[in-house]
Amino acid sequence: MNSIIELLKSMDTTMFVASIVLAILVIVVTSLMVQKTLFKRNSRNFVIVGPPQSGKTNLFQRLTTGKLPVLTVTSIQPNVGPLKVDNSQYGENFSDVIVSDYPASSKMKNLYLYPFLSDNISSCRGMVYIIDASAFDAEYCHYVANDLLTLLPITESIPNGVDLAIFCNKCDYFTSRKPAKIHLMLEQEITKLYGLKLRNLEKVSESAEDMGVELEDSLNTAFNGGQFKFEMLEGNVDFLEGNVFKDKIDSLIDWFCEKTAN
Amino acid sequence: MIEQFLIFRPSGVVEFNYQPGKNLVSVTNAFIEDVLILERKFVPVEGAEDESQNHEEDFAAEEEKQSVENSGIEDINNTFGTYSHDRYSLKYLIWTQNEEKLFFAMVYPTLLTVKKPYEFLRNIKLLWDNTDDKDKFSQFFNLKVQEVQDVRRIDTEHDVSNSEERKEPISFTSRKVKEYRKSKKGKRSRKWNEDGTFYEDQADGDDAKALDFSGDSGSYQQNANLSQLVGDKARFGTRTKSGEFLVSDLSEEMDRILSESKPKKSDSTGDSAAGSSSSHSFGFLRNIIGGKKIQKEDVKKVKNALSEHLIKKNVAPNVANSLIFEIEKQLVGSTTASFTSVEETAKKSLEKQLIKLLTPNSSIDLLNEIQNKQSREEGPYVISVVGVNGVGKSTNLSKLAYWFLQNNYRVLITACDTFRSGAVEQLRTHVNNLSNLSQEKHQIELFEGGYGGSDLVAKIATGAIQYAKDHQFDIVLLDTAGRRHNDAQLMTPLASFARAANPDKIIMVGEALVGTDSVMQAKNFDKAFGANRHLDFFIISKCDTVGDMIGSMVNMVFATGIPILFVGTGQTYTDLRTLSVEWAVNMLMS
Repeated sequence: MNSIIELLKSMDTTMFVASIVLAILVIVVTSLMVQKTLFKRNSRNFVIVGPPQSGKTNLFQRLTTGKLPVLTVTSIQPNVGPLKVDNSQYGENFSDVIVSDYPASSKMKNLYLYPFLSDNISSCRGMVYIIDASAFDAEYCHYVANDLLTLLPITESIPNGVDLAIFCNKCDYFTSRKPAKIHLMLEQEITKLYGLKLRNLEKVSESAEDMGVELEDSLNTAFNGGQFKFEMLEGNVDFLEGNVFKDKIDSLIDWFCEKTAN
Repeated sequence: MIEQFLIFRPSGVVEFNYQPGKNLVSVTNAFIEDVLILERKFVPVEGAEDESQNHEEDFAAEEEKQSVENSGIEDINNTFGTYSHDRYSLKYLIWTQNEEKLFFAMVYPTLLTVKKPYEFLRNIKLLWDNTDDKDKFSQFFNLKVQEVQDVRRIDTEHDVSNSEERKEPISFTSRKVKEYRKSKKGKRSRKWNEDGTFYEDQADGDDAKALDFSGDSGSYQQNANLSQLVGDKARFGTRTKSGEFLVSDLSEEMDRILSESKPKKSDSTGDSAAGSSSSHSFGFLRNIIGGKKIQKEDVKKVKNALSEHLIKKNVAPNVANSLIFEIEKQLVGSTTASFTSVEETAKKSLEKQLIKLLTPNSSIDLLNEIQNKQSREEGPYVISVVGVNGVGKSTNLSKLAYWFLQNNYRVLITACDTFRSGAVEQLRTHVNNLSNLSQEKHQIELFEGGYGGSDLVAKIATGAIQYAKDHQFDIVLLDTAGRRHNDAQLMTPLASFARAANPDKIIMVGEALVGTDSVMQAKNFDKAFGANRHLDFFIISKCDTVGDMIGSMVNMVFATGIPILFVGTGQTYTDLRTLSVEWAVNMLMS
């Protein structure tokens, strides 16, 4: 009899220890997982995009380290890091603001930017579209308009949209176009390209549901009498000027403060 | 001579920049674009015929590359290579360590040769790895560059003296004549000093002896001439002398690093290998939880499964092998993410590889281009269709025509197939159908020239373009005869055809049904138009007949780097779609 009790007791203790170990394990694992999802939900994302050689990596480095790099070359990987700018005069809390910079090559965009946007669009607080104002000619305008036409349906797909800052880099050059002019040119080009896009062939897909409808739905409201207007978008669009290479990005920092305050 | 030396990260941040002259970052950017982003390296299957592509590769450099690559164990993490762009050559070293990549790129004019460029790159890498202080590294670097430059100086001296000896008689007489002529005009003759400087002689130069450079004064003259070529050596010497103390001190330290780093490196790799192998007691758990460091053996298991999967999807074995080789390179040494196995990681990696491959590098917007050409009033927009027999050139041409008609363009279809009987009649049927479908009767017409030899083709094409100009057609579609891609006799007329018609776009129609042969089809057709003209894009037809086995798309893009714009998905005029990369990758991965 005694021996049976002894056995039960010993079994009890082993069971007890085992259950405690299991409980701790469960707590650790769930906390790890929860932390990950919490971290994901809490952080506010800002995305830097733009044509090649417009200064995205420079801007990213300036925003996250406060310094400009010696030189930059074409990126083949996205840069991700927390925003770190001198915020003493604004008193904003930037601790959870994540900035990411995506390479402009269309292959890389398909690989990194679009998957990122489709996964994290709801946590995306803003998008900086940086362009080189000194190189802004008809061809450049076409590129930018085309790019915006692929990005805007994504940013407009959530309620209130994603705020967009079109940062005209190298704006202080003599040969640069002024933001107001760029604004106008882009609206015209987008109007034209959107018209062509509607007439284009559909993308191949397995089901009958086609991709064209989506584009139409989210952008349709921005066309006032057939003319595209940035003001009609759900998200606010600001045209900012400055020069990353000369560290003139105050307008952009103001914009960041404004967007993180909300 | 080294015009720029860059050390940069994949994120685009340059860590170190040596740049004595102008900024040549555009060369590096072109290298990144062409090699790092677009690169499709063909890795032939064992036993298959080896296509060696680098015939022009400098053999000495290549040999050295081999020797540098083979020396030392740590070099598995290094990839060497060469690239040239716009009169500049670029030698690069990609160093992978703990999933972090670092690129070392050296830019110099193509006309110059750099001795042992790869060894130089490797030494710089070792220095970078072992120097924490950036200032110190740049001092080391300057020293190393000087060393290389020094070697080269001596080299040129040697080379030039050799060549001078060979050419001696000619060069001397010509110089004599020149000097003589000069002196006749009463100009001062130029005398050369030993250090390469020269002074103008006051003497009249009638003195034949002064001009007689042959004999013992020849060697003196030769030296002087050389030093002019080489530059001011004396000053060069003093310059190094002035910094002698610092330099010798530094170079000692540098040499020590270089000599020590080798054994140290191999030790550390040995350690890490022992540590990361599954000798850890809970190593097996990592397979499930993730965070496992992937070894070569792990990939080997997955490799076969993946390549089989690709081949089942109609991807050519060569191409599948090449894709998987890339993945293997990426995976070995990386760690799996949480809760993913090696298989899943490899699959993800393959998916990314396919997305990267199939996404076109630049977007082609046909309607926009047509509109632009129209607004510039440069005549009709000419599109030509080529391909192997029976792939559906005429059918896809009429599908395109239908789409253009829907957009209210006037289309002229041209029958350039003067060879196969019934080809013109087939097109006429299409044109009749399409004109019945279009709003206006004269929106589409057929231009034909009957049947005949291959010389007739170019004539018909130019005739059609002229006719379109005169009759205000917006678009000319040229249908060509189907031809076997490996028959030179059939392929050569394509070059003259492309020159005569000069189409805005040359489209190759390839069928999804074809297997391994699609690689060679795409390659040969791309080559057929001469050096300056390439295919613009592919239409892949008969996609509805293969289900999800659309591997020939991968084959063709991999073989040429030319994007797929449209896919044909059925028999009717509306069954033409633009390619969705997402769709294609999903099909291939399913």
